[in-house]
Amino acid sequence: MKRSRRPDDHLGRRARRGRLVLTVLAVGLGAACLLGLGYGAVRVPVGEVAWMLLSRLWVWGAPAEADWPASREAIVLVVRAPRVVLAALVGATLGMAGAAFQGLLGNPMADPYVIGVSSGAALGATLAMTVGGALALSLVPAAFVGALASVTAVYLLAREGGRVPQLNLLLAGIAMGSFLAAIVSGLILLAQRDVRPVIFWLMGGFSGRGWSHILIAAPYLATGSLAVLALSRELNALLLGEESARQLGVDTERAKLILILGATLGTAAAVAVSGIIGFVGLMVPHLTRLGVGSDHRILLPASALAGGILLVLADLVARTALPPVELPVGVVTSLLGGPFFLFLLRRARGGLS
Amino acid sequence: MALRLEGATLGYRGRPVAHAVDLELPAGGFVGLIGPNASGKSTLLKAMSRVLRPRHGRVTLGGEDLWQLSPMTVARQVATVAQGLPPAFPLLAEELVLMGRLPHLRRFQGEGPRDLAVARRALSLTGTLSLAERSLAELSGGERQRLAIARALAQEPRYLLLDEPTAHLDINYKVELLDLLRRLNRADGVAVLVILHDLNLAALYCDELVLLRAGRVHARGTPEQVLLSSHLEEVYGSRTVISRHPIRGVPQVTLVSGRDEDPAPLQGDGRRVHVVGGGGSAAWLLEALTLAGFAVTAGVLNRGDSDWVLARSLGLEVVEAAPFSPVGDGERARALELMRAAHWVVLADLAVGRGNLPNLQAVRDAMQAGGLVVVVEATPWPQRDFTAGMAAPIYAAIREGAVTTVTDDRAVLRWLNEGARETGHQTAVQEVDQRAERTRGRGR
Repeated sequence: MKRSRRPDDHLGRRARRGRLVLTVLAVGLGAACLLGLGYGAVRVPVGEVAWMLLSRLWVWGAPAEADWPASREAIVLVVRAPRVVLAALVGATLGMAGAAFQGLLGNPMADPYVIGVSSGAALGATLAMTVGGALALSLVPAAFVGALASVTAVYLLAREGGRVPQLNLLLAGIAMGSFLAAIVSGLILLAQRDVRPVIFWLMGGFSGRGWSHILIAAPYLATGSLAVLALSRELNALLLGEESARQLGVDTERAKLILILGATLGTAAAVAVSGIIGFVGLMVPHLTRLGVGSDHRILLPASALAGGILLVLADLVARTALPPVELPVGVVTSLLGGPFFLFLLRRARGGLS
Repeated sequence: MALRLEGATLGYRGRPVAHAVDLELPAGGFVGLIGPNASGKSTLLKAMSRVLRPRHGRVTLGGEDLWQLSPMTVARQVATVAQGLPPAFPLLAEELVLMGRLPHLRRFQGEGPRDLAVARRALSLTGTLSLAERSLAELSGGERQRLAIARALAQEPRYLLLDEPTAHLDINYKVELLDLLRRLNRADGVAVLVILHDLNLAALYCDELVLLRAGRVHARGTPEQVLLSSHLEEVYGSRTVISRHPIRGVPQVTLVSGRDEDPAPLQGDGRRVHVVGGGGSAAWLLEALTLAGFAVTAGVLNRGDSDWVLARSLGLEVVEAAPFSPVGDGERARALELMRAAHWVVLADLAVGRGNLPNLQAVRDAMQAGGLVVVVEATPWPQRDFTAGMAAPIYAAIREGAVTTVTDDRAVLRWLNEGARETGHQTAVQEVDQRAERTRGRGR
């Protein structure tokens, strides 16, 4: 299609299109949540779900009479709503953290899972859950410390003459991930108490999560995400390299520090409440970038919305694919993400040989 | 108002790169930074753009310490086009250029109509408006280079610093870009500091040049003051000839190559050679003999003659006559003096008319006084004789008495070399010296 070449409206069109994409994604997330609330072992029509929400959220009295059984409302609002909301929050945080790490490291392979942030968070959280009672560690700070330690180690191991080559980053991340996973396994084996909840948690998922989990994680998720979002234009400048970013007036050291802390904090909180859910931070920013380009002012919120959609739907699949068994969400995303990762790697390196 | 380095000492991790450098880019100035690789040019630029902090000394912008100002404040006034290209990212050209507006926008503030207008102007000034919606990943190096400059212009800087902005450009774009910089400088008052490798472009465009050598300022001033053969030899270690740009009159640098076609170039050791030429007939010899280390003198040559121009830019002692005028008795006598002071006289393949006939007479006189004459006869004599036969007996006498007659310029050097190889370099030269002494003695 040929557009008019009027010079006046020609700049900034991509930004306008980005805002349109954001609107579409927001609507999409709403639709995904409605689906997530309605579908499951008991099917509730989406229209009814919408009415339930409206009647609960409508502050000036119910707009409609409740003509549905109370048990259905309990399933939707008490059982499903927290996990849908948590899935959306975690997905949003992981999507945005992935986009931030990719931009920050100038590396399309970066993702909280690949570069060792998630494994470190898992180790921290496992420590808190298994021996934490004695040490009085609370879950999210423990995960944060673990994640921060792990990403620092991976970054330092991968660095070569001031740069972080793609391959080094992947190798260091994978090695660190395996190493930490072994420690986690060891901890679980040695733990004195019942370890099944820890194992379920590790596989990644939202089953049995309630509003209390959201309350634990939400402040950290929000802080981390907002910190990253606030630095979106600095991330843009960093795409040009650190020197150019500084010449554009960016305090690059401070920006990098805030971005790493923010993305790591968000990831750690997500891991603390929902275990390891891999590849969301890898796939989501990639697909989003295809649609909205590399401007982080659009890319970051779009990745958040797309990440929310992906995890709400993945959770829906996890619950409904093989009844009565419920798959961990991490299994679903890894089934999608593994092949996607290989595809990226193949494209980036021109073959695996 | 100025952007200024004041006694700045710079370095990376203990490796000093620049020592106590003073450098000023005045508001509205156009300064070129030249010097060989690793002389510290890019490092100075990084200090002036608040990327590298000086270890000693200060960088000031309008009198204020650059490091006391916020990075954004500096970026609103100083824009930099760094060395190298913007990454081949899936980023639209217009997005890259709009990044130049970053220091002018508050956090979370989107670009307004004015920002878009500034970006559009930057795109059209650099001839990249048609690329606006293309991805950087699919653009050529030259196109990305021009976009990097457009990005800097979108910053609306008062001071524009550029590190080899012409490196990836074809000559038409080089000239176009420098024309653009000069236009911005003259029309909008943007101060420009540009690192250039091409000394001739630097001379053509810059008001002031700063020549760096090993992290220190070796020379500064107008192109005329800085682009001297002596400076360039000291800094680059290369032999150069400085001439004038035919239209603009600014200095232009011509590199003089080594004579690698001569396997054992003769070392002149400062021995004197007088060359008689004119009309370009002696150009090659003047340069080759000078390079081989002889103390070359020339003449008589008319002012404005191409051999005269060359001899002057080589810094040679020349007996000169007024343009298009016959050689007078005084000039002939001066030339004879130089010939007698020389070890050898070389008569180039010149055309002889009535005006320069005295040159030939002087050569004959020098020879009869015992001088050693080498004659170059590339063109048969009758084709060069414009005196209706008057010069023929004189030329015949010179040929008769010359130590050798060769058929091209290179053979002059080769002839000297052959002698050097047969008997050993030093002895050959001494032998010639002694012969010169003997014959001179006999002549007296």
